[in-house]
Amino acid sequence: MALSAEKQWKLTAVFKFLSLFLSLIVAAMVLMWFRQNRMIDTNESKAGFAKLLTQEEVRLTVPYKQTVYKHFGSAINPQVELPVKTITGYKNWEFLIDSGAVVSALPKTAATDMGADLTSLPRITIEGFAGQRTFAYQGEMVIKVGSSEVVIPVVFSENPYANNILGRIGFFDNFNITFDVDQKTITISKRG
Amino acid sequence: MPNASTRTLKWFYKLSWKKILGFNAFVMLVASFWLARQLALSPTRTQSKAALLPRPQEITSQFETPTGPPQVYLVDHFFGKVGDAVLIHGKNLGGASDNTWVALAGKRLTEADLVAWTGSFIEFRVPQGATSGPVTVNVLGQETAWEGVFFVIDETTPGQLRLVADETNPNKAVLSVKGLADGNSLLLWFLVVSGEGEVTIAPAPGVNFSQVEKNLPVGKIYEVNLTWNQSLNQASVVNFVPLLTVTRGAEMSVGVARAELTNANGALIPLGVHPLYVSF
Repeated sequence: MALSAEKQWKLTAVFKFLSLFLSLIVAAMVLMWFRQNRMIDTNESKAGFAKLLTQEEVRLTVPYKQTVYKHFGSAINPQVELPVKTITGYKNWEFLIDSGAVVSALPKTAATDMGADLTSLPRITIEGFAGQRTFAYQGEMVIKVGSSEVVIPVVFSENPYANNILGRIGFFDNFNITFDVDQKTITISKRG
Repeated sequence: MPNASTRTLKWFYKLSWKKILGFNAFVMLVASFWLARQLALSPTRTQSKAALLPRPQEITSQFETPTGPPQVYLVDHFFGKVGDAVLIHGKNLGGASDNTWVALAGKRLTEADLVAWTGSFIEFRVPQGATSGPVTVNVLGQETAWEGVFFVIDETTPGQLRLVADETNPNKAVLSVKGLADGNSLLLWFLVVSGEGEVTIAPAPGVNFSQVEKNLPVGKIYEVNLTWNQSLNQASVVNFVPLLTVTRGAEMSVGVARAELTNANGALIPLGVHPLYVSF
């Protein structure tokens, strides 16, 4: 059945409109996919074309902390203060960045603040500096690096005097940590 | 006079296919540019993916030839749920081999349950289906067992101990218990985990106790035997009831290393300790 001339030109117009609209939709979806994968940190620097050279985005830059040791004199303390999610909101805790530690660690008392039930967490042993083994409980913590929330594995050490440590799993395998001697800063960045 | 929608439709109708195709091509070009940029920013793998495959952790073991019969001083912690790590401290334990094994309640642990084995300690994980019982170590045909009992616990285990430090005096803690059931005596080991000094133990009202001290290579042990007024059993169903007060030196750390709750028939009632309150 032949369409009337009136309907025919309207149909052509709609078809032309749809072809333009669909190409825009496809392009927008590609851009959205790109943005999602890039995981930009809007509060920190945004990836620009200049970043093609560095291929990463700066999340956090903190100045060096130095301690004067009795035996060694002044030395860098690779410490950063990061907000940690607790049952009463985010609290700033100081961590030692330790590439020698397999996993991040907190003293067992921190589990109470974070609402973690130690009795239900798997018990493991962790090896200290002198090879002594201490019991610890495997859990997770949510920290903020820049404005991004990151979930990383953590162990709650039975040693109440244990330091807050940021270890390799979940941290070193997700972020680049740069010690800048000239700027005297520690920069935590992530690939774009 | 045509209305706005008709005018718009006419505008689209008059738009040539050449222009439409040109516009679409331009949009796709912009999108593909962003896509190419995304790919350029992605890290390039310069090594085989095989190198990134996780490898299962093998048992840490270096066989140390025993200079005498094996000895087990302590099984630490004396309780654990399935999957929990446990340390056996001792001497002349050799190492993991075809001629050495560990058994929990008479059942040999498999290689998958063992984490580390040296001449002075063995680390294992409580296997699925494990039951409470003695821990036995066999090294080159010579067998020894810990004098205590290891308890496999879970979230339904009612018996619980707590060593809670005093808020005003951190050198003082109260040992309390919940879920005494029909237990009428309790054997406890307090281990000096670190530091030097004396530990003073005092019973709560209604509790009788005797104390023995012994020195083990893992630290000084205060062995305490307790009996109590049976009214505590009823109270312990709901609440933690205090049994002892433990006072230590300022630089010391003291923990509960063994606990065996026995009823009138000599049967053992499983006990665990909350990780927060296992030492102070």
